[in-house]
Amino acid sequence: MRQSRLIIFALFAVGLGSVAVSALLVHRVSSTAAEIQTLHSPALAAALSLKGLLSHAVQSGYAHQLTGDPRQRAAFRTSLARARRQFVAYARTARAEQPGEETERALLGRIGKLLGELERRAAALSRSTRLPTPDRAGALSGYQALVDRALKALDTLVAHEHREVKQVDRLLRGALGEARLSIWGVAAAVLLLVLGTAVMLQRALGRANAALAEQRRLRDRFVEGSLRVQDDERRRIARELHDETGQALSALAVGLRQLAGPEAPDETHQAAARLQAIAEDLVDGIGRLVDGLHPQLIEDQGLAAALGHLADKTQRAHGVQVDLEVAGAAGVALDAGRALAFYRVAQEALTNAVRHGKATQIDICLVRRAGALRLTVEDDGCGFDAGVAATQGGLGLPGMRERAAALGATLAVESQPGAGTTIAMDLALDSSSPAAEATP
Amino acid sequence: MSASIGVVLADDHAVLREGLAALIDAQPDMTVLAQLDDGAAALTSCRELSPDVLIVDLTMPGVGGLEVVEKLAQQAPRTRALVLTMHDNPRYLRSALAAGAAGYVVKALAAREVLDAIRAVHRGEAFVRVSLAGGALGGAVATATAPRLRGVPKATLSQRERQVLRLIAYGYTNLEAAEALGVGKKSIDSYRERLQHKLGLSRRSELVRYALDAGLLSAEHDADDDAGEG
Repeated sequence: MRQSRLIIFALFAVGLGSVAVSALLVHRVSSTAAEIQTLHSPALAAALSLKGLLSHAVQSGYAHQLTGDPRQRAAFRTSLARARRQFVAYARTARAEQPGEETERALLGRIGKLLGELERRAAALSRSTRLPTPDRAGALSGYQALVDRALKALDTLVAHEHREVKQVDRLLRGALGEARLSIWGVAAAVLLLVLGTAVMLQRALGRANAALAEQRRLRDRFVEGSLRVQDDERRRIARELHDETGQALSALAVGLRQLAGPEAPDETHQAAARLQAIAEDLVDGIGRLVDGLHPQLIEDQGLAAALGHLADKTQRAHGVQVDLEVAGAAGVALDAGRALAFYRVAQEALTNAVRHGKATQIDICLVRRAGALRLTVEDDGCGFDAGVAATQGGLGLPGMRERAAALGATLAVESQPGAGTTIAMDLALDSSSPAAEATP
Repeated sequence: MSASIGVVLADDHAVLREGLAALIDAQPDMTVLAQLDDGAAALTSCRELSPDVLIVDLTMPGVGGLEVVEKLAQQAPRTRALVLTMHDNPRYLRSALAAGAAGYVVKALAAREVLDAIRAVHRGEAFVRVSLAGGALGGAVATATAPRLRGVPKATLSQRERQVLRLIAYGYTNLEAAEALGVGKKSIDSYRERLQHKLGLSRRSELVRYALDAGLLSAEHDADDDAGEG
């Protein structure tokens, strides 16, 4: 039973473990996805910064053209050169990362060309500060158109990168969702399986326990039945001996006494007297036999009186001091069957104390307390090792236990080598049917 | 003939009853007035015949011997009851005497004693002779008047000792008492030893008697246990 509990516990542990592992897996997948996303966003950022640079260059170009400020001119050229350098680096990385991407490659090529052209035009433009105004205006608008085209191409690139990032994001999200779903699914399945198994085990355990209890109940009932049959049989035999044999032998003795009357011849007198003595011995023996078979006193005067008689008898027969104390139990209306069980347990305990314990004093106590009746038999004998007694099953202990169990009473046996023995039988007086509630 | 002792026999065992009747009738100083096999008829017969002696078996169907003996004093005051029984047992003797029987004869010795018993009872003496191998009567008397213990003041016991005493008196084994009070068995052993020493008692039965006399087994003291269990 304990083992099955352990198994159920282990199953629960496995279930919880699988959930924990799943949670860990999901967490790992999520963080990996986040990492992939961070890897992709630099491309988008680079494209945006490129666009920023280019706008700056264009603005510086205009300013230079309009004001003729040489510092603006230098800034314009540096910006443009930086934009170009950055773009070259960007394009290299992009090609290395996605060599097969047609759209992007074409786009990059076009932007590269545009940037080159832009630089050339810018150089020409910067040289032509002294151009006549109409020509300058023409060159400026040409340059403007070129810048517009470059910006547009960059916009396309940014949009493209944006789309790509979005797509990766979408793909990742999908994959992540699927991964989560499948991990949680597996975890749920494991959990369900484990729980199901645990529940099934629990049920099987419950059934096994119920079957065990039923078996115990049946055994107790069987023992109770066989004890009752035995008691009934003994009572019947005792009654037969008492009512028939004893009486007939008594009558025989009386008849022989009459035969041995004063007017009888000597020989007849002697023979009759001898036979009478034999008949009397027989009646005496039968009386003792009857007493041993069934303590009639229980029915006539109650358990306390019967125990008193038992104590006297034991004291007389074995020279051991037997003391009986009854507290509040004399008035208990026990049915004859239960009273007999108490009597038999006490009898067995006395027999043990005398035969195995070599006791010199034995105390029998019958005490009633709070709806329970308790019999205690304590001796000062040599005691025994409870473990040894349990394995060897001697000392009449099993018999006492069976008596108690059949009654629905508990039996405690306490002993130690050299420290005497105490046997206590406890019966709740409220239990209506003696054997039916005997299951522990 | 006024010298003859009138006897009524009540026993449901016919063979013995008739044997006894024959034996009694054969005596010159006795006459069997009636034989009956149940208690009620025996009482009726005694009321009508007013015999000197009623010989009555203890165990009879219907009205038992004890009841007959009890009612006899009222219903036939002249008649003296002589109990005749298989029970060679002081407890039955005691209850028969308590019911008012004048004599008690066991059937095993009926043949040799019943005539003497009838005569003794008729003379107004008591006739009690249980065969009983030595000391049984003494045992019966001793059990009847179990020596009460000298009062030992309750205050000399500590609360714990009183708890242990109560549990022992209630029939707990030392181990059970240890569990009830939440202490080790060894402590119970030593508590018990100490309180036995204090009270000058050595046996469980004496402890029960002491606790009973000291009123420790009344419900009001049950709270002591609860205090110990807390």
